[in-house]
Amino acid sequence: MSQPSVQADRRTTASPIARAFALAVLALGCATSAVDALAQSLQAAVGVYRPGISRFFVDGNYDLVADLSVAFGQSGDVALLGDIRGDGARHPVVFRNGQWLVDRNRDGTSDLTVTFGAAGDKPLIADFDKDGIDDLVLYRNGVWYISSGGTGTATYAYGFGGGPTDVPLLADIDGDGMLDLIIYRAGVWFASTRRDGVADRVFAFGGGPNDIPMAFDYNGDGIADLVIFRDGVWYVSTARNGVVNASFQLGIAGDKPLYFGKGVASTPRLDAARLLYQGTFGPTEAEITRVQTLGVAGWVDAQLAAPKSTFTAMPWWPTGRPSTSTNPLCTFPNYLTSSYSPTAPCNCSDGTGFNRCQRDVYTNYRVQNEFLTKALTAPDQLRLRTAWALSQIIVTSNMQDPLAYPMRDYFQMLTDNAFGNFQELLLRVTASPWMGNYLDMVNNNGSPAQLAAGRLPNENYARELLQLFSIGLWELRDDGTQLLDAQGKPIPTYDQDEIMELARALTGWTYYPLTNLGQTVRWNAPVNYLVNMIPIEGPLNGTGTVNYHDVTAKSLMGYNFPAGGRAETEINMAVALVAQHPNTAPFMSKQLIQQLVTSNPTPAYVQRVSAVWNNNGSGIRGDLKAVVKAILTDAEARAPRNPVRTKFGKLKEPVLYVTSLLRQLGISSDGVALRTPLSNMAQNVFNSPTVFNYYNAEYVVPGTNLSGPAFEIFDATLYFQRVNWAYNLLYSGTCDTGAPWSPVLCGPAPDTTVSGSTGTKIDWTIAKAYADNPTALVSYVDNVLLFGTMPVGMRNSIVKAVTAVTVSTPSTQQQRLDRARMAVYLTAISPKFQVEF
Amino acid sequence: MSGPMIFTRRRFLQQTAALGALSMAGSLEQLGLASAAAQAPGYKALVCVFLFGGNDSNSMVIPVTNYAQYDAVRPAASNVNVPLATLQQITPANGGGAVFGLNPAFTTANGNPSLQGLFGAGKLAVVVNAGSLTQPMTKAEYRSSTVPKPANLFSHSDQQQQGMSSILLASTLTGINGWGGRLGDKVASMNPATATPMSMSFSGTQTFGTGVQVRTLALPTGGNFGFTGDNLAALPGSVQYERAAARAALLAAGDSSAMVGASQVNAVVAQNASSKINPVLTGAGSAAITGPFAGLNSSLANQLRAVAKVIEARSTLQHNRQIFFVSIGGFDTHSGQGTTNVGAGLPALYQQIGQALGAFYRSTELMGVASNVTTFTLSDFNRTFKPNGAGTDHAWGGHQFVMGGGVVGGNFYGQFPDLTLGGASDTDSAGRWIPTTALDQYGATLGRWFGVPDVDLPQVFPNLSKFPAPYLAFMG
Repeated sequence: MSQPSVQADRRTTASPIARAFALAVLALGCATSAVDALAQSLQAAVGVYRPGISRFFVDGNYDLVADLSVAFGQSGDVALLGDIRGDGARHPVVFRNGQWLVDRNRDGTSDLTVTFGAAGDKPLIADFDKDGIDDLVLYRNGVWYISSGGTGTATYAYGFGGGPTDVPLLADIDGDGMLDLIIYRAGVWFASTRRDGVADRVFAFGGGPNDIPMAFDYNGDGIADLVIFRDGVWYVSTARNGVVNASFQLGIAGDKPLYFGKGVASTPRLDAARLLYQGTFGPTEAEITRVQTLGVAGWVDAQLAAPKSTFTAMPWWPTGRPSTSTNPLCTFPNYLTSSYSPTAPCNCSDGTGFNRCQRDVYTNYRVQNEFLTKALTAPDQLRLRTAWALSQIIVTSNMQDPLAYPMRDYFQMLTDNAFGNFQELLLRVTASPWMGNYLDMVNNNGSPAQLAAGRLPNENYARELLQLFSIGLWELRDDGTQLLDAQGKPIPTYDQDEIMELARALTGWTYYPLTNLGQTVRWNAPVNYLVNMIPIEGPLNGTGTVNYHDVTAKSLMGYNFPAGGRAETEINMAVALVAQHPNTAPFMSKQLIQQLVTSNPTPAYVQRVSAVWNNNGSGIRGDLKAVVKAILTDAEARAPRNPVRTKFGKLKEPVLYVTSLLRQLGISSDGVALRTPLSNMAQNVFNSPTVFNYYNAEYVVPGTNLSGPAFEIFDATLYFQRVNWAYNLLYSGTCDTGAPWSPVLCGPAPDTTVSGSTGTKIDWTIAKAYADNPTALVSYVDNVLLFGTMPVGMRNSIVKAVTAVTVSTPSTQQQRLDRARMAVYLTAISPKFQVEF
Repeated sequence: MSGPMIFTRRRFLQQTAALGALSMAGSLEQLGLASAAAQAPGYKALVCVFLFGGNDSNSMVIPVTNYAQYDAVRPAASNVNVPLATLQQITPANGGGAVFGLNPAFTTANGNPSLQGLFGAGKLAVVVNAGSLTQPMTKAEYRSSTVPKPANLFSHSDQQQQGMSSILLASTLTGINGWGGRLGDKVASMNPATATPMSMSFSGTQTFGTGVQVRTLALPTGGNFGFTGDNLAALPGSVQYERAAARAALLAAGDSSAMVGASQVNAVVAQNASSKINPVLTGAGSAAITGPFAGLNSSLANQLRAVAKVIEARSTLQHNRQIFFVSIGGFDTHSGQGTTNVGAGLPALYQQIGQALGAFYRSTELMGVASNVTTFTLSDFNRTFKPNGAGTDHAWGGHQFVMGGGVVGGNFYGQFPDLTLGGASDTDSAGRWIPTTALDQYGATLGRWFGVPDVDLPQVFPNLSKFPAPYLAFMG
């Protein structure tokens, strides 16, 4: 097989004015509307054109279902997809005798016509010069003519090919970021990666009589793959060695395949940032470096092994705040550190008028601040992130009892067990006095007198244990989808009777006595959140005359609890039954994936993680360490940025919005200035409004089929809260300017009533280096906040706004500060920054 | 923090941003917009007051004539009893002379009308034993499961969604929208296209007011519904102008990520509504509002005050129809129902309701729109008539209030349950009443008053045709 003939390289370039005009047209913006699902589908498309009916069928998200069907063109047209004006969407295009007709609004009629070429030319569309706008390409007898920006004038020309049956293709076959010229000739692919007319790569694939070749990045690895369309089936060779390793059916014999030719390569920096969005409270430069040094698995393993954070322990305090006159207990200011002692009187008042005891002991103020400072700076990021995720599934809240120390203990317990065993965690939760108070498990009376009076036990904890903390409402497959019965209806996992049985099994527990206060074991013991609850079974365990644990026989999930059961036996068995229920793996795995990685995992992803939940490889079920590692190392979480994955990612909940912005900008904070804004954003830390968390895990974005839990607290009012918080953070607060160009630290001052307070400080010094050059400034901000993903239109808008901040020559510190603020503010409030993708 | 806030073993459900507005996935047939009204549509507003957690309406409306039946199950020792002598007595005109009583905690302030007074004046009605029903259901049918029951009858999240959507058999939240929103779809053409959104919530994102086209706009009761740092008078070329312009451009840009696209939607709505609505919310309102609401700062009062301001500004906002959602939580009184301690538990919540509703009614009167505004309650469910020793657990059918100048008040609508445990009204023996009035009938009556044509109501309420009388008579 002879090589394609070499032709002289005839290259011309367009005048700078023509190029500038093309770019200017782009900048005025043909922006699509915010929620234009069809436009989004055309940014990453495969599809077919059916010549007999002149109809385009396009699938935007590789689910092999046509998202777009439009009749456009007429007999004899060549069908293509292209983004001729760089607005980010791909439109149906037909080539007819030298005319390119574009249907931008996909209504079946042409709204743009470009003249370029003649009848008989073979048309292609690709972004040849990588400026974000697709170019028109003609292949005529071995000569390739490229019109940059789709203007109709040839700006480049190359020679390669020229055989009678040659099919021209443009794709990046060597992964260097530049499109290569490719000729397909009867099953052999010749690539000229240097565009010098010489074939320096050759592949073999296809060769059937009606095969249609394509080259595009199917698997998102940045290198074009070879694809053959044969009678409606697409055969893919991602290794380009002729071996088919993927195939799918899309179309029928006679169709012309359409494909999206522009893969979007990711960068190592962006890949690292994505892992850090998933496994930390936001990427930092140091952590990005660590990921790139250790690799994904290495970083995850290091995080799994990192020493765990310890929150400052707090002593026991009574539920009722002691007043000065009635109940002196200990002396100020030692309440912060001293453990309780009945001999040291205290009146919970510091005498200066500001009652810090009330704030520091009887609200979770200190616990909130410590959580936020650790989220911002602690090294065991993954553990804390997992604990925070667990705290939003197995919810308790200070809304019911505002005491600080038990919330500290509960969150510490989640932190300690974040990489432990789920069944053990669930047992600790069930025995927890704090949870016992929150959901009425404590002092739940199952005594004979209660039963005789016909009074039923409180079912609150039993219900939520099943509905929220383990198996959920509906039977699930391991991939998280609902099982259906013979009538096609979903199957409930339990009924009201089962809740009652579980409630009875969990009766009889009360608070542990405070022996140093002289308390003894008894039913309805005084509130003590320090220690696990204990059962009062009367004669059975020497705790008096009455057994408050229901000793009747019970039946729960097919297991019979015989009469006379012991409280500890039944609590263990009940927890084991729900922890080991087949629903638990998918129900919990899916929620953890949604908390850490993406709101819409594919069922396959959920299934892979459920499998690890059910067996960590050593026969253990519920190994959270293995599950978290599986979630983060899974291919779905790690796949490089690829616009085909349009549904990937999640909206940052308020805590992650705040922490990611601060960590990415290197802003330090002691949390004090953050906790109230977070509350205003509807995520008042440790004060969940109900046991259903700040937002419902099942929430669906209105008008779509997308799960988006955090969107439930992202309505119009809460949108303003986020945006205005960012404004106040960046634009207000005092600045220590010091000597010129010494660190420009701005932000809320330390709160003198909080010991160790450092305030919140933004160092604007780095931004000063770029402020004289708006384009460079915006690029810097793009790199720091969006890791280079800022779209062209957004960039242009922000540059324009930055330029509007006038500067003198030389610019003053204030002017450069204002320019930096503008760039950061606009990026920080952008929809793009609200989302992790 | 101003004073001790001591919470004993109570369970408050503070639903500031509860279960939210959801999408429509096509399980209901495509809803067309209402045909344009033949005559001028006039002005009407619906105000939904959702009581999150499951209100023990057994404590809200109590038989006086038949107090013995109540006392037999809820005696003084049960910790949930409301003493006979304290009840605010009402006699429904259509009740054959039977006397009932409202809970004594329904007090009022600022000389505003009390709920008892409104009932007597014919401006308040009680819809009794209402709840989610797919079709009429007897106890035998319930026990034998021969008639489909609403899914997950005693689960908060499901019953809240069902109360707001009247979609009773769903197993996921995909495709659920609210019946308030669906009513809004039918009357959407009564507001001009340039009007700000018709459906507004002061309790965050909610399913109730979201339909197919109509979406709920979540508004704050006070504070800034706009961008800090903006100057609406800024000139092009100025920093503030260019910042706002860049921001608007950002919000409009397309993106391949569906998540980014979704994050833009509310931002765009917020931006567009801000300039018209912000002045209304940050203003004080006229004396018709500041008078009745003076000194009332509870969550419900603040929300209804904001509703009143938006009603007052209806011409500016170009609203001929308005749908409001407000709420309070804390009704999940498994323990500590505390009926003897005004200021805590259920009595505190009822006091909040009494004061806020009284102020709101008076405000609409002073604005001259009392007959144009209908306020109605909803809740997850009623609670077990049989107490659990410290409180009550989840149940089903319960009583709701409907208030407004257009209400045929002073009556009970529906069938008061037989308060016998294990009796004909009870699903089992705990006193969980099987509703005898359906949510669909309740909502359809309101929708009909609101101006939705009869022929469209079965599309809004899919189960409506199963009930012999689709409408109750409380709106005339």
